[in-house]
Amino acid sequence: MIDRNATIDGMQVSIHADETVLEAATRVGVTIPTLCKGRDLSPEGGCRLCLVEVEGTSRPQAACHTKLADGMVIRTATDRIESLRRDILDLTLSAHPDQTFDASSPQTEFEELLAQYDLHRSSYPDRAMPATLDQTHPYLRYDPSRCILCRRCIDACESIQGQFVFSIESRGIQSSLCYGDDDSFLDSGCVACGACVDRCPTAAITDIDRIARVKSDRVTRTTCGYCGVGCQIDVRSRDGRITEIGGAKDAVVNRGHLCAKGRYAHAYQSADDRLTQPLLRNGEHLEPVSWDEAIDWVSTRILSIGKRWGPDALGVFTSSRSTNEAAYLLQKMFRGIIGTNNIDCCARVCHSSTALALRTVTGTGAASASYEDIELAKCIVIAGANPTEAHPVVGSRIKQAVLDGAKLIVIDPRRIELAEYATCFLPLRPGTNVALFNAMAKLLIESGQVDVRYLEERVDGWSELEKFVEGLSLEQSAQTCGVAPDRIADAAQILGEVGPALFVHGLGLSELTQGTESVMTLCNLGMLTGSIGKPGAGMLPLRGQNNVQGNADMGAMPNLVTGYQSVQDSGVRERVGSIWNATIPTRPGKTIPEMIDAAAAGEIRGLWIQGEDVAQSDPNETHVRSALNNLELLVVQELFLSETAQYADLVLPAAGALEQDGTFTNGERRIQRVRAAVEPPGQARPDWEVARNVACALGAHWTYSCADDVMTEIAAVAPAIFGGVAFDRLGDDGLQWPCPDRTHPGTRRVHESEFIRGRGQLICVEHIASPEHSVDGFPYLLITGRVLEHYNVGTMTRRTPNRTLRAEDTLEIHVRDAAREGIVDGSRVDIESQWGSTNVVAQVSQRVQPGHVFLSFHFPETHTNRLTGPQRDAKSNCPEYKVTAVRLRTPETQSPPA
Amino acid sequence: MIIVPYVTGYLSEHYADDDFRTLSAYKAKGGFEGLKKALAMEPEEVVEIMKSAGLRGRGGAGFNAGMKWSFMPKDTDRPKVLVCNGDESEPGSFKDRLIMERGPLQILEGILIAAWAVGASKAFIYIRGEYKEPIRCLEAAVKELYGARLCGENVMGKKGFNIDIVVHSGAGAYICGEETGLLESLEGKKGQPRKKPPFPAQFGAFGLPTTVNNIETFAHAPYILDRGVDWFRGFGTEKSPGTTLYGVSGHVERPGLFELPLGTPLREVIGHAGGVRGGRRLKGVIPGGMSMPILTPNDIDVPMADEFLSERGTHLGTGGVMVMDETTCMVRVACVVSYFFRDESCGQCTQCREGTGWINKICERIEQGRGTQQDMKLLEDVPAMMEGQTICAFADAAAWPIQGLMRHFRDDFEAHIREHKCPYPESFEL
Repeated sequence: MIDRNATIDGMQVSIHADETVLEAATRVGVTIPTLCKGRDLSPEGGCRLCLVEVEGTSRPQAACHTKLADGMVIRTATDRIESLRRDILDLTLSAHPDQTFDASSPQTEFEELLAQYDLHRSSYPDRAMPATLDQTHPYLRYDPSRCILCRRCIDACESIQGQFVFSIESRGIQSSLCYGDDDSFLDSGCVACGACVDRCPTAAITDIDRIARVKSDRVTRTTCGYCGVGCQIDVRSRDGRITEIGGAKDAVVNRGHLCAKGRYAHAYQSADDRLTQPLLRNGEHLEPVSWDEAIDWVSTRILSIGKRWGPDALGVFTSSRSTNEAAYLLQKMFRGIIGTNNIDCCARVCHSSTALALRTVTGTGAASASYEDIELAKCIVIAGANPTEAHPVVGSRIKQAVLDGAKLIVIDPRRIELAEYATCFLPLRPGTNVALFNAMAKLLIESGQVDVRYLEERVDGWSELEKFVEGLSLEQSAQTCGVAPDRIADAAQILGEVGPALFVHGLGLSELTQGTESVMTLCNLGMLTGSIGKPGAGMLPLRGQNNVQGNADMGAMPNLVTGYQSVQDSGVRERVGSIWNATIPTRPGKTIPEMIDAAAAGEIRGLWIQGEDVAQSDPNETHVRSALNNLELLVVQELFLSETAQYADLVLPAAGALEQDGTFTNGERRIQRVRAAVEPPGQARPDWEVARNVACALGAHWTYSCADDVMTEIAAVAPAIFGGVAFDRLGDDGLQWPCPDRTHPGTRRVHESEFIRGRGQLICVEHIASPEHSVDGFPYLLITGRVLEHYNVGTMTRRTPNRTLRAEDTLEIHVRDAAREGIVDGSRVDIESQWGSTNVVAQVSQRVQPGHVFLSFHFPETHTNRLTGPQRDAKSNCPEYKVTAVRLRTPETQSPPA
Repeated sequence: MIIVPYVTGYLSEHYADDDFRTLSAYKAKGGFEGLKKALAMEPEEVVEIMKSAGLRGRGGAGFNAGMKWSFMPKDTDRPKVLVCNGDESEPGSFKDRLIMERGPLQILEGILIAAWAVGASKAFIYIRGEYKEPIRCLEAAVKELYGARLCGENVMGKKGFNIDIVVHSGAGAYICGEETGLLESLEGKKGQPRKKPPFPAQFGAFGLPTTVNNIETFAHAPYILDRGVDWFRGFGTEKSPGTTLYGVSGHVERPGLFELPLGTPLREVIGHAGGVRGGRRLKGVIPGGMSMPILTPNDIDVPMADEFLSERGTHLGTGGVMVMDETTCMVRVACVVSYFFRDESCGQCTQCREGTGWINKICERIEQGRGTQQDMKLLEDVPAMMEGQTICAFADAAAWPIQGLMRHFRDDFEAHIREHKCPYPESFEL
């Protein structure tokens, strides 16, 4: 091969394919100024600051969009070029009022350039007048006086977030940045990801929390405490208070990108109503006590209940928002010291069906793929998930992948944002996934569009499935799902032709009476197309909370101890028991819904609930509240006096995600470090510490002095998947399990050469309607779920300015149904199911199909879960949040406005 | 409608005849003979003939059309596109309008020849939205071609020669005449020039290999193919063969279009328009549309071809000759010119966006008698920093006329500053 190179400022530079002069110069350490080329963005080309001299051409060339070619001789800083740059900066400055920019104490990229070129004042006379600030948005501000029209924000919004908020109005000297047709930042389609802010070179678009320019004295790299994407964040703080949060630029998971929650919604951390000391019930009141007193009291109560009613009268819900270390220690305490397997976590009420299904058919109850498969995918199937709202950073990556040409099939009752980008959108009737996936399997098999080799080599049950689908009728399935047969055929054809595919799925599959079957039949499609274990393909369930994956991993499950080891396996009990120096009970414990039922029935007398607001989040709210009321002992570890905490006998103030050390595990099995950025307020303590202290009070001799010690033990207890995990190996991007030993690099893709369980299993199962599907007198099907601005029960986000962005839950109802019911947008409506009723504000919409309504559950006053009922998936015990028969009533007193 | 006095040439020979716009009459005058001959050849031969004919693009830049055709990739499966630029947005230019209205089939035959030569299967004729009549004429002509199976599938019975032609109405911006600005506009986007490379031959309309030529350029092609290179080179100069339609406007007796060989002396061109109005003295001539630097009476005998005009610091451009007599205030000219470019800059590049704004502001200030020596310096500095440094040539087009006016008529500017008023009370009104 001939050595090809060019020269930049006298340096020999090798030629890399498709590299621009600017990139090559940066690579060899030559800085060329630019204002319009932002990080991770394609060059805009308009600022013209990066002009360089190229020998043999009379005109200077723009380094940002000129490719470095063999033999080029480039000079980046000749007198002519430098004077040109100064002229351009002067011209740029000439469009702004005096004193807009301060070159004497530069704060922005632009001001630094002004300082570098010693430009303190424009040489042009008669300058512009200051323009009006846009301060409508709670987090973002736009100052037109500072905008130099570099267009980085436009590109960032388009090519990172995919929101297309900005454009340029008018042309030439009259050009100005605008929000499309919208008048203000608040009204625009902005989703507050902050990608534009991070790239704006003049702070024309800026974060309100950054304007004060409080100098931070500390930066802490940690993992975001919101959804299960697991974005890496840099938390800046000063004097123990958080000043701002930014995305970690080099992070594998999010590459610097964040969402409206992760980046901005941190005010809850310093909210006035944070719990700062233990509170013990005294009659009607909760009164402050010392930690010693609290621990003494609770250990005595636990011992006495255990002694009187047996250990199975006690139970624990670990917190999916807390660390792996906290979950591990709590399950260890309940199993090893108290002696019960009544241990569960909120995965039960979200992805338990997913985990069970994946475990059954593949051998592991977690994602087979990684987020990086999104960019590698040629075909993405989204089923029962709304990533742009619930997992925004992953949502934007999917959107970009589709904009880059990947095919997208969206399967969801609602016209979610990504449905607008879909090659094929299947708006099915809630709870009919099995029928749809079976129909697609039938079409794939009958058209021969299956991966024969993959099926023969790696999968069981093919001939059974062939026979099973033979007996299915496409027409009938289509009727069940409410989707035209042609559309199903379109989707199957895309899948068959473009697959292997990446299956991104969520609670719309798992929170159903046929939740487990929904995911299993989706896995059928994954196996028929030869997708599971392949690059750019596989199963990628999106986990809801920051550490819901980790909680299940740690053994916060009634039948599985740490690392998915069965409590019914005597070998496991023996081996783990010997490490714990304890006896692990044999009989699997109860799940969360079973424990609630048992509490209501008086069989469970004491519950420890760590960071979970079951009174708001669990289905059939009336029943849950009566169960809580019935307990002899309720211990709650919380940040705030939640709906659940109000029933507690003892409330223990907890440290939040930004205040403790440990690890979270994200939805792609990535164990990442959590580092305390600030101290917890008052006497609030990390959850793992509290578990250790109570265990010691119960008679254990636990000597963990830090979260690191706990992880060392986790690795020993579950060597097959965590054996190689240790804090010193987690670094910035953590490790993806399985990671069996210290030399193992972690696992990007599971089932790559073979399924963990040996061979994959195809499942033949028919659609069975939910009891909620046809309830006389309740004509609508209610779907519950989340919106972008809030997180789960809203405990955190309701205490931030996200409340300005969205102040209440609203009931989405189709415009045709609204007309029939006499409901107008914004009016209040009574909604009633067999299980309860509530009163909400209606939002007339075309996002839902006729016959369906949607309600989020972020605000306690909405009482969404009074409506949801007792239906559960029989296998996983996961409640059916996604299908409830309801009826609507408009109060007669309220007539629609004329 | 101006009916051109046929002077000497071939393009406008039958423009007085309304029927020339119909297929039968066009064919009767020898129409489609060029295409017939082209189809008897290999595409490469057609490109070679065009290259050797030396037909220079008539849109302003004057690039060899055959050479441009040869840039189209040969070994590609991607569909190829031809775009005919009928935006004619350069002030002082109106020749394309006449060709579209009087000789639409000349353009279409040229497009078909080019399509055969470069292997294009789709052609867009992008016409400025204000040109209602030209759009109507071309739409009618295209319809007639489809009816006669002269476009669509297997054109003229040639199996596999498929070409669809679409007439597209622009939405009005000078920058849509710039070829990549036009492509953006054609795609339905805001008309903003693209960064180059990639050039349209690699990544043009809708990302496909594309050749963009001007209306008049296409219209010459049938004659070259039909009558031969030698015949074509019998008109014009060695470096600029053929005729063109000079559009003479301004202070002349009979403004209009005159088809003359390239290289015809300026004096003769103006002579065809009846000379300077009212026997007044000539003050300046813009030779090729408003973006070209001005000439003075000393240049009156310059041959009107680019190789001679560029020696005098200007270009033939679109051949739009704007004549100004002795009453003309050159600062007012600068105001008109700079207002236009200020208004039409797309705004992507700093120098162009801010520079056009400042030039106009300063010119108006000088015209109003409020100018200073600092303004004179800015009028020298700002155009200098605009020229040759931006994404497209618009900034050059905005800078050159000002530089020309400052070079040749500095006294006019100085007089305004000295007298704090405009010394040309009889000049045209702003």
